Amino acid sequence: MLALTPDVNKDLLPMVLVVDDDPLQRGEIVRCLGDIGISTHEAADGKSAIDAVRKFRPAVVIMDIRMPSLDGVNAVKSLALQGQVMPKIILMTGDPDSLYAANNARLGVFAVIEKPVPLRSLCRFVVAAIASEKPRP
Amino acid sequence: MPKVFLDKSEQDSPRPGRPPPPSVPDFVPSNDLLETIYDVIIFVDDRQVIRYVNRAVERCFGYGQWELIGQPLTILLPERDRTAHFGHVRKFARGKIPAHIMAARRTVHGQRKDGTEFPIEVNISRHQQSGETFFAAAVRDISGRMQRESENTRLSVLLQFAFENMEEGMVVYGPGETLIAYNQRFLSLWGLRPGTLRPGMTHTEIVEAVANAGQYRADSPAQAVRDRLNSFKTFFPDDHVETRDGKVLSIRRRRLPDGGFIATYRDVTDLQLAQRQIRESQAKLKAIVECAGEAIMTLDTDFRIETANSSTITMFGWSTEHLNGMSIEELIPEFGKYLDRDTQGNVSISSLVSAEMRAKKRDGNIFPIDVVVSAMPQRRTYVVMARDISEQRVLREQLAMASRLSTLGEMATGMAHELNQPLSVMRMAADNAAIRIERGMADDDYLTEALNLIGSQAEKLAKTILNLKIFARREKSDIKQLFNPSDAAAAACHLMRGQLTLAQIDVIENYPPECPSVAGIGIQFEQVIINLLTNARDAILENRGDPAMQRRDKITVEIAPGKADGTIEISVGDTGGGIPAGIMDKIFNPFFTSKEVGKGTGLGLSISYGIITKMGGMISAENHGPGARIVIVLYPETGMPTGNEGAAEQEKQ
Repeated sequence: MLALTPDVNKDLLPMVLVVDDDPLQRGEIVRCLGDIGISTHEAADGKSAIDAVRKFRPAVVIMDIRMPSLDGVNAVKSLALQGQVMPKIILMTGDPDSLYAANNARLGVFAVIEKPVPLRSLCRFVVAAIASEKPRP
Repeated sequence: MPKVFLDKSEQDSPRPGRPPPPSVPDFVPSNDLLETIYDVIIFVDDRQVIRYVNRAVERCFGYGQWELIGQPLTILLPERDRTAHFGHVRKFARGKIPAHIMAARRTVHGQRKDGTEFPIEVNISRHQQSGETFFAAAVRDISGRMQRESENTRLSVLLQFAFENMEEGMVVYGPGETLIAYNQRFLSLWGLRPGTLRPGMTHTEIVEAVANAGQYRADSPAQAVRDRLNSFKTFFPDDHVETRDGKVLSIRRRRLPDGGFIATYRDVTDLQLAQRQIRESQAKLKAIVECAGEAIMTLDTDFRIETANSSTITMFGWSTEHLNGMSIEELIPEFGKYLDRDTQGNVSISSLVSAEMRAKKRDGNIFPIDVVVSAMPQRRTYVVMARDISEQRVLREQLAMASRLSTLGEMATGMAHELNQPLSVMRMAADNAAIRIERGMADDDYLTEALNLIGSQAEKLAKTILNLKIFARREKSDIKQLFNPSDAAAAACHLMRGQLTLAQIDVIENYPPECPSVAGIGIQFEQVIINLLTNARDAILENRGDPAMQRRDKITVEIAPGKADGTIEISVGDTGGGIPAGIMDKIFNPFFTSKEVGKGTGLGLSISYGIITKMGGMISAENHGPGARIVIVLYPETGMPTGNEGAAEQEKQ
């Protein structure tokens, strides 16, 4: 069972940015994370994802690769160029080609997951990603 | 009527101013006889004065009898001859001959009262009576006879001319088989020198002459003569003979009424050659017709089969006996559709019919044929040529299938995304619900919502898969059915949506709420739309420069009433920069592609063109706004211009 200690200050909890162009998929991920007490923000494409990262400084970004406007891979590259502290990035995709390309691109992401995503696994990845982060001052 | 003075008593009473008429001797026939004689009888005295003339003079010369008594004879002659006449008379009078027929050597003319001249024959005789000389002349109008003679001469001249100039050689034999006449053509046909033949020669002698000239095909002239005479004994009226120099002569022999006969010789070498050539070419034609893979038939005016080649027998399964007289509609049931019937009930066919029809074999099997029907010039026969295109149909289906599969392959990437999306949602909603149940956090409302979500996503998935299945299904036949173009366009967009979204292309669909149905094959139309969407996408992608500089490209699919009444217009427009003017007229050509080597097959637009035109519609391209636009015009099912409803009807049976 996934749970965090209830006396943790929610404001200090790391936040997760969920990026996917499909609101239904976003919604399920957000629900799942919310159920284990993780707060989330959402974005629908790469460009707004970059803005959200800058604004909210999430600890983890869950991002679909295939999106209109700026896709996931390019968003990651863009973020890397910005020179700021990179959040942990979990890429998702339903497309085997994108999966393969992302794996080979040495993007330095935390994980690349194939859709359809089993939520339990996703949440485990998120928790692991959060856990591996040093607490911010 | 003047009297001939027979008795001398009247001589004694001379009339004042007139000399007494001469006494007529006994040998002169009586008045009555003279009056009835047809010829003109004139008695003149030694001074050539007319003393008596008979009634015939009225008919012949136009004078009354009494008018001429006392006139000089020369009044009856033309002026120019009068002087000469006196000379003749003097000579005659002094000569020893008592009678003379004038005009023995030249034509004598008489002159009528009205001045007209006519040819005459005159017999004159000289007599003595009581010391006086007088002359009797019998005059005959020979104009009729002269005319007949000149006609005969003319006729005989013409006949002679004809005889010499006729195409045939001719020989005329009299009774006893002796030569009467021959023409030059006969000589030249047989190669005889002029002078070889003489009238009076016997037939045998002529045969010998010809044989000696070497014209008979035989071992020796003597043998030729024997052969000819032997064959001639039986008198074949018509015959053929071949000369040594290669001519073929046709001989006609006809008996003459008086016992002779005429033989006519005609050179038929060329004719025979032409006939042989005709026979050969007919045989060749027959062989070609027999060898042909197509069924070739001729029909009479009632469209019943007169002749059929062997391919017809193998194609349809009927024997020659059955085919003879069979109506063409037994083999091709829909043939009647192509006939024109006028108000009198006369049936004809427009000059050339070329179409795909369905034919029926003897065992009842229906199979597709490509038919050409043409009417012979006299319009009494029709020629039907039919080719079995079953195999062609199969190949066409396979090609269409291959084309669809290749399109499917292109769509695969977008497909994966399209299918995964609902699957992902379903998976996650199920997971969430399970997790919540584990935690005891699942209330009925939440579970209901989650299950509904899963259900709707499953339905979405099923629809996509169904679209795919329909698209990929092999079409068994080309039978047109009613379909709704907006449904087909929507299905096409649905299949392509994934791909287009990935390429960052918006799809705008604009369909009227009530779109009429069209007769055609729905999934083929769907394929056309997919083809157009693919082309639009490719154009947009190619036209994009810097990927960072992404503008919102879009493809617009619109259905609206067409410019012409009753038509429907379906258009697919893009923002891909348009079609260069130079290739605008080539884009529907098969294998034309503007893509680089290995990328485009170039088949898509030409197949689309084929599908739309087969539906009786039109497809065209134009540049429109920031890109190109392909416009399809279709006719709703009531207004189909081609007559293929019959085919659909039959299939329904």
